[in-house]
Amino acid sequence: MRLADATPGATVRFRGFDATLDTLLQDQFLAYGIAVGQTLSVLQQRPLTIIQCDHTELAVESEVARAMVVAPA
Amino acid sequence: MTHCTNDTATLDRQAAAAADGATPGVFALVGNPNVGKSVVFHRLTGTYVNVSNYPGTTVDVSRASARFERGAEVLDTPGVLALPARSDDEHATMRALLHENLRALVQVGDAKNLRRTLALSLVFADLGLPWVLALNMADEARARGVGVDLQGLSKAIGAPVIETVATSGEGLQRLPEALKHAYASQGPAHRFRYPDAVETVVIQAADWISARLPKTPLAPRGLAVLFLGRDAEVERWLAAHLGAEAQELIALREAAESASPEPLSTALAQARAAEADRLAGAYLRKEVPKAKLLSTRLGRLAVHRIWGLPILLLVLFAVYEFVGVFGASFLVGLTEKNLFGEILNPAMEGFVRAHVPWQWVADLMVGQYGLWTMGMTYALALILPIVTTFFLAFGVLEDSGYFSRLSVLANRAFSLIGLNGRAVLPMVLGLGCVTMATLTTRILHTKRERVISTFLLALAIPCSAQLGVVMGMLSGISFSATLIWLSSVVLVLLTSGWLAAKLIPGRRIPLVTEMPPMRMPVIGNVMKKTAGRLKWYLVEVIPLFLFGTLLMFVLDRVGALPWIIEKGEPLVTGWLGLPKEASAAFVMGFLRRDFGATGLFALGHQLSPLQTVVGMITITLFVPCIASVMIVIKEQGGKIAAAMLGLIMPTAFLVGGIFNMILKHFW
Ligand SMILES: Nc1nc2c(ncn2[C@@H]2O[C@H](COP(=O)(O)OP(=O)(O)O)[C@@H](O)[C@H]2O)c(=O)[nH]1
Ligand SMILES: [Mg+2]
Repeated sequence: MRLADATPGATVRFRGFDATLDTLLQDQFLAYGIAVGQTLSVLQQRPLTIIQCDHTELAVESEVARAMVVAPA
Repeated sequence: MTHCTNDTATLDRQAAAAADGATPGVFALVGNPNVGKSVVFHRLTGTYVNVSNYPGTTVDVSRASARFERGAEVLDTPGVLALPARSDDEHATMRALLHENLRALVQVGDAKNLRRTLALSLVFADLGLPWVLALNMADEARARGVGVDLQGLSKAIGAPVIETVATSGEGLQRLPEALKHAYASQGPAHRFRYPDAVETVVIQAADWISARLPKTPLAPRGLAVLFLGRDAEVERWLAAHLGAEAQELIALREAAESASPEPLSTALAQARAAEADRLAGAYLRKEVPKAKLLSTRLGRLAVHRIWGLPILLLVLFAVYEFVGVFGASFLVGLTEKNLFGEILNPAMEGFVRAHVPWQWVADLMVGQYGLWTMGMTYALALILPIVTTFFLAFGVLEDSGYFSRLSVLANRAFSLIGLNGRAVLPMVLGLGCVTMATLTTRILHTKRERVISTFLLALAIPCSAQLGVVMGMLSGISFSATLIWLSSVVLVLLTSGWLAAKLIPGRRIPLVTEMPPMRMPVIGNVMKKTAGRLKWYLVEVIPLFLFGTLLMFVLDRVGALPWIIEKGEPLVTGWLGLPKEASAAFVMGFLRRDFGATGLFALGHQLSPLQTVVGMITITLFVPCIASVMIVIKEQGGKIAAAMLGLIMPTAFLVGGIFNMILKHFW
């Protein structure tokens, strides 16, 4: 499943990035604490995908959220 | 010796410090963006630097002397999301680490986000400098039920750990003591090791560096880790100190890179993330589940799919009431009509006419184009109240954390013009002062974004001073006049932004941004920021207004004004359908757009509704003021600035003329 497809309110486990996603962005996510296996709460999908990781809230444009693979936690 | 003065100064400082038993030195505050470094800096030095609840607004290194130790200096560095450095901010911080000859590091971290903080700590721990971890925002962590075992963590990372609340000063008194402990300890007892495959390469590279460079500003191991992770600043430093030999080190990295399944930088960063995760797991005291905080709820509502818009409208309405109604009508009424119009100006005029024997000098002071009656009156009576209220409102919104939410809401609109929501901060600041906003485009991440937003600021964002005048004139006509003006400016903004995005090479960067918690604005901070901005503004505005007035006075005296008015007639009268005296306003507009708008304001009663709307549209789009052109030249270079001006002036007249032709048929 893609992060962009997760239901708002759900908790998901991060599985990885599409190889096509800019590596700079991948590094950026890792710096925010989003590593493989990390659980994330999906807060909303519109107008942007908003996720929470620990106590950091991130807004992610859908183009990027579609390149992030997650699984139900 | 070429650096003789420098060396003497250093020696003097050392001698002075030796006398009172301390060694002077430079301490650097480092850490993630928006964790409170600048507030800590203010606490430690008494020097105020820009504090903002918006990630990435400190773009330069600031320095000031420390209060807690004589002779010592503190550096405030731009936030780093991660090291090795990738962004401009991270490069600036890395340069400071390499070139500042630091005595110690203070990592300011966010107590409620321990994992993120520690992932960065693991880089600092390898730099070989004494360091202290200050877990700031302890108040927010407590409110969320997050607690940290400080002693345990301190043992594990081999550095003192303190808990602070920078905004209240809580816990910062323990910093000097913690620093002493940091000097005393000889590095961590057991340091973090990377997984074997990478650790071997790190050791190899570190050994190689220490064999060739006996003295390095940062420990060889730290340099090795950063170099292997492709930190451009460290690579440059090594190349400068090793010359051609650096090739060997690069070869070592390439060999390791090709043997590794993923880029080395990723492997290193992932290893640190895993270790940070382990440490956080071990030293985070169990989170007590708490009810959702008001700040969290508000923050969520502000970007809510449905509630986001009404909240935005509410915010806009409040800002309009404060700036547009209270500032631009009520306060300006007091200053312009009552204070200046009825008291100051008549008194000034009486005094000057009575005491200055030369007619022309008196005219220069208090005549139609008088330095006092035109220049100072415009600047102080008309403009000052508007910008003051604007900067206050802006500061409150900035401090509350609303702007990051706004960047989420505005992202779609900005994507049309090749930008992302991050550009909302400079664009909104442009409504206050375009020049200041042009400087703020530095917070955007790519050159392309900076060029597009600079161009749009110069073309289609009216500053508050101008906005005040424009609104004042248009509201005198009708609401639909205001609406026509607004839609024309938005139309130009979107069209030209869309074109610029098509024409300027490069890719749009999608928005990925952190949204800091909504916070109650700190009044002291808002006041300091407003005062700083106002001072900057007045220093910029008053000389230009005076110079502009002087220019008008001279042009009028030597009879050049009639000449310009005549020459501009075909364009101004024919094409735009304005009275020919309006040419003078455009001349004034060269100096500042608000000055130009005020020039049209002075013609007020002579203008028909159609002429007012056309005039306002044209002057809004007309050349940006001299000060902002200077800044564009400084930030983007002369060529880009010239190209922008070359585009903007014809566009302004073109659009004004088109609206004149269309609206003529309806009015
Ligand atoms: N609640 C709380 N807010 C803080 C604390 N320290 C800083 N802030 C706020 O956090 C925001 C970011 O602070 P700033 O110093 O600009 O962060 P920097 O980017 O690291 O320099 C500002 O709105 C500060 O008022 C703290 O300890 N507690
Ligand atoms: Mg700062």
